[in-house]
Amino acid sequence: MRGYQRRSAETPAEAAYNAVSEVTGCGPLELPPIANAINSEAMDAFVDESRTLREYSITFEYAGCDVTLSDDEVLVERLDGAN
Amino acid sequence: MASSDTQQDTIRWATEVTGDALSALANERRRTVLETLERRSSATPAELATRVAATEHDTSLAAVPADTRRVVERSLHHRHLPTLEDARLVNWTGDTVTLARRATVEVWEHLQALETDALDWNELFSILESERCRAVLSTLAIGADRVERRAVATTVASADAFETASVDETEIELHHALLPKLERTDLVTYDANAGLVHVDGPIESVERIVASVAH
Repeated sequence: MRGYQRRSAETPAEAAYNAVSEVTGCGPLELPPIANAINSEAMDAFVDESRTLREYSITFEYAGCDVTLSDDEVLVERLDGAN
Repeated sequence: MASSDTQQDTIRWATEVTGDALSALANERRRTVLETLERRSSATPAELATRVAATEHDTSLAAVPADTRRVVERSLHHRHLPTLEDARLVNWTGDTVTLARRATVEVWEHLQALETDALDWNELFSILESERCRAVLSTLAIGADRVERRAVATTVASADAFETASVDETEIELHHALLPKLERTDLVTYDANAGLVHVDGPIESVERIVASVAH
């Protein structure tokens, strides 16, 4: 499991594929389009509007990883157990 | 090759359309309202409701049940007419509704020519609401049936007057967000592995529809 801090300029979807890119060593263009793994616009809108919620997380499978997104952090767990 | 005039048209097409007008069109009942108004110069909300209900149920005006008409009229009053008015597609004063722009007629000519095929118009208009997506489509409307992702990124990045994103950033945005989104319209197919965009649908017709709701 690896943690990635979301930068303020990144949308949640961008943070998710950048985090997976760091963990797997695949460039952002070598990873499959994230919009095919999750409705990334809905996710971005949800995270945007959920700042006042105390606690939440969204977990989805993407590029052979479990990706868990909370307010400003992305956790990436490789499903092949490599990390 | 695109002439500089075409290049200019492309940029206008992508930027001068209001997102409001396109999102207003992303609803079948509102498209029916506009289509109804195109055939009549003006109508009261009650007349519109009867005609819209008749179109939706594919029946005669006389056969529209009173309670159906009331339900449609309420939805026009509370939701659809305010939305169309905000988008400056209709004028609504007191008891009279008129088309705000004759240009809307063109929308209907193009839509009727295309409505038979498999395009999902609600999806299409809600996607066209995004200026970035319009920029991509206008780039693809130039004619080739297969374009490299990198070439699309270069054109889209250079057409953005504010230069908000580099070519590299635009290419990543295309790959993860814009092309998967546009693929849902059946206008394009995106080969993510090869980095190629295939043009499948009538993008030029869509371009004319969008241009016709431009100010």
